[in-house]
Amino acid sequence: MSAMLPARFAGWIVLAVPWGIAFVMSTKVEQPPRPSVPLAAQVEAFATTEAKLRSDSAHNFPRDRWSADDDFHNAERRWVHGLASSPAPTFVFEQLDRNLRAGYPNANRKVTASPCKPRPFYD
Amino acid sequence: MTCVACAAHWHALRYAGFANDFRDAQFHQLYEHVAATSLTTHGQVPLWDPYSCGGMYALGNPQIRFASPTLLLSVLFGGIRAQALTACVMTTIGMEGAYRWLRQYGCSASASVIAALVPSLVGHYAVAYFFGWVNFYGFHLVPWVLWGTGEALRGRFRGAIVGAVAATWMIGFGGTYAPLMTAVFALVCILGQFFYRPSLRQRVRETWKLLALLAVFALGLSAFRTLPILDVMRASGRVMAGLPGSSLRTLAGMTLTHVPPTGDVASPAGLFFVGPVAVIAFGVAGIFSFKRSPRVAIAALTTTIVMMWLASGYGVRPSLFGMLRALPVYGTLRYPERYVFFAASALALLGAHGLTEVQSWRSSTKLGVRRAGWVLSVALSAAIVLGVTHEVVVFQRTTRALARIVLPESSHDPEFRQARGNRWLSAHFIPINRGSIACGEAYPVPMSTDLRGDLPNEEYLENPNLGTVRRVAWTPNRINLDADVSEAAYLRVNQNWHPGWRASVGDVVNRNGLIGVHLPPGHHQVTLRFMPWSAVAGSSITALTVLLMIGIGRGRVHRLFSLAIPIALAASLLPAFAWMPKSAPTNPDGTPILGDHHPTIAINATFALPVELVGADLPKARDADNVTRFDLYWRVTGSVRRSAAIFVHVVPKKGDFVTLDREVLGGTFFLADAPRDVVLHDVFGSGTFEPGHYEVYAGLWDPSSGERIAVKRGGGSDNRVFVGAFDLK
Repeated sequence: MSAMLPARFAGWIVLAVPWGIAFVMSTKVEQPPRPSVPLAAQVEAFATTEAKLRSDSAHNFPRDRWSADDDFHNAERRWVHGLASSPAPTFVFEQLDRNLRAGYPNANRKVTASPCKPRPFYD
Repeated sequence: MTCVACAAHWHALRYAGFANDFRDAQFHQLYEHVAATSLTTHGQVPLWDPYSCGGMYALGNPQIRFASPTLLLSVLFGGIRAQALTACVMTTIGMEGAYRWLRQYGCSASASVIAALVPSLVGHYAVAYFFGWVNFYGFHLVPWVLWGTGEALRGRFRGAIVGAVAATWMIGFGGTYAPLMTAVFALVCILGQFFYRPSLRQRVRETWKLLALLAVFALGLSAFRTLPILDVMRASGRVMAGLPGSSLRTLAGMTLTHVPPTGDVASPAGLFFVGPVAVIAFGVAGIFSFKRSPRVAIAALTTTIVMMWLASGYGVRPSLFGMLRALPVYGTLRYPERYVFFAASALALLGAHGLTEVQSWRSSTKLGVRRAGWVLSVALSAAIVLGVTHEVVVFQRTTRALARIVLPESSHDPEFRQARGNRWLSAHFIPINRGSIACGEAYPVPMSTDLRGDLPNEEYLENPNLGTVRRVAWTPNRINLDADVSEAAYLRVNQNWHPGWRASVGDVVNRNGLIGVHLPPGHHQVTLRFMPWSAVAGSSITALTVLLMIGIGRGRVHRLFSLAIPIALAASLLPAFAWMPKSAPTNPDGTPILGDHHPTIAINATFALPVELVGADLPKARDADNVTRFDLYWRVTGSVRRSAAIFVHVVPKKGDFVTLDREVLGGTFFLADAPRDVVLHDVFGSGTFEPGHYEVYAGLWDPSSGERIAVKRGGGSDNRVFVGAFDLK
């Protein structure tokens, strides 16, 4: 019985080694730096394009408010990823959030939700 | 096995500290993170997720995977880092289960070890990891359900326990499809066992008792999760249309070719990679399986074929998947190719069984047979190991290709607020402590159109002149507020309403989909708590089932008695629940489908099916977004087959007509499921029309056959109904 114990534990040790390595490596992940250039101007510029992007999305997904909203957010994603100096999207959204709150109640920008209604065709 | 599982997930483990950037992964990571922090930071069971879609019933979301033991990993290592560990652990568990399941069929230990690796490394696991669908690793629990079923068939009580626990884990791990599909596979396997083991047929009654016990245990144990899912799906179920299918050639491409080196997982190639080497090795070994036990071989081969038939969906006629979809609940199944998971397991059984046969030749008294046994067992084992190696390499390549990101740790604002959000990048809202009201769930989450992503305060009075509200404390399941109102007033919380929310003062009400509290005049300390009945009742049934399992295990409770209690309890409690009310059906633009409608054009056409085209409104102009709107009004008066659909043809003066076909009315109802004897308002649009004169025709057809359904009244000889004409300027 006692001879069996090391063999039993061997499996757990095998399991623990790669986990340990993964854990150590994952603690060494370098944090993305805060953008050196303030993002306020870029976010402000994006705000001026929102009406056009919304209209394009409504045209792409006629009479489908959730899909149109989703299309707009996809365009927003592309804009975030395309920003010069590639800031981490978190910081861009942080600035966008500040920008929207500063403009409350944002009569000209959509800040409400379109209830999720997935399209029935994904086959 | 552990080494192989870790080798396959090496790149996943190596980059465990990175988040997955794929759009689906974004919200899956968010769900797991919120669940883990609900426990660790707030000391709460993760019932409500305020960060997603403006607030959702987390335990009722079919996709979450935190209702399973692997939540412990997320608690220990963090939701994002634990993804890779969870995937690796689940794979190891799956391999162990497959090994035990193969051993049940009399396969040798060595044959079972190597054969078990193949179905556990099917390429779709790697693809699922790439997409962030870690919840698909619930399929690794399939062999444990089968092993439990097999043990129960042998009259062993532990089989009922293991099978039920595995099924519950699978459901808790975000597998709403996996248990349904597993039930089919388990049924085929049970029939196979009855076929090859005559002794089972002699004690059918005893056998079925334990199988019934397994089913009841599974239902009872999983109630903490299934009742919340039922609560959500009953209110807002997903409509799944289309006729998904793959030809046998496409299926061969999915299983035999691998994902391109670029990691393009969008193409069907390699989606369910098993590899030609493993398939050929199993096929050759399978020949010898017929010598060992023809009945086992026939059962395994038949199961493989049936699973591949199901996997072909509507691509092979007659469609077995189509027949399955006709059953209750199974109508929501999609992606039939997922049955390849099961086909791979059945093929592994055939291979392991055949390999066991040639291994047995090594102890033959005849030298020639002994030699053949050695040569064949070494060759086949080497081929299977080579196939496994190929799977590992492809697995690594697929998981290496995924886009990784690092999320910053700090938050500039410790106060939780809803942001406009972005479902494509929702994980990025974790560090700034913001919820995303932009939602990309796979089911229509009940959401308020009044949610806002720019509010100065998340809790406010509808009439700000009546007083003040101040947040005192905030956690996902509980909000403490200080309210002072001069007269009765409505307080609003910028989150979606659910009947599970309760208040210590006043009544919780639904304010256009938001959480509202009707407060009496005065100064109040208001505490809002989320405690839905489905979670309370479900957890009670689960706890009771655990007690019964222990009682039966110790021989203290009569087995039949145990069957009666959970069923009676569940049945008596269900109607008492404050279920989430069904959402009012709407068109994709938000227009109600039901209501008092008055079409401008009366048509009243009837068809060979009990459906009427009542009327229509046709466009007069394009809107500001250059969209042309159409409104049709239908009435269903009787039983209609599921495949019946609507076609709409818009015919210009010159050129081809434009089709605006509608398989699902208003994106909500198949004609077969639509409410009877009421007018149904179907709104849709198109952005393709240039100025000109157009005629509109509509009718019914069957997409599965391509045939139009005859018009009985009001149509032409081509079985189309003339709706009207319009001019666009």
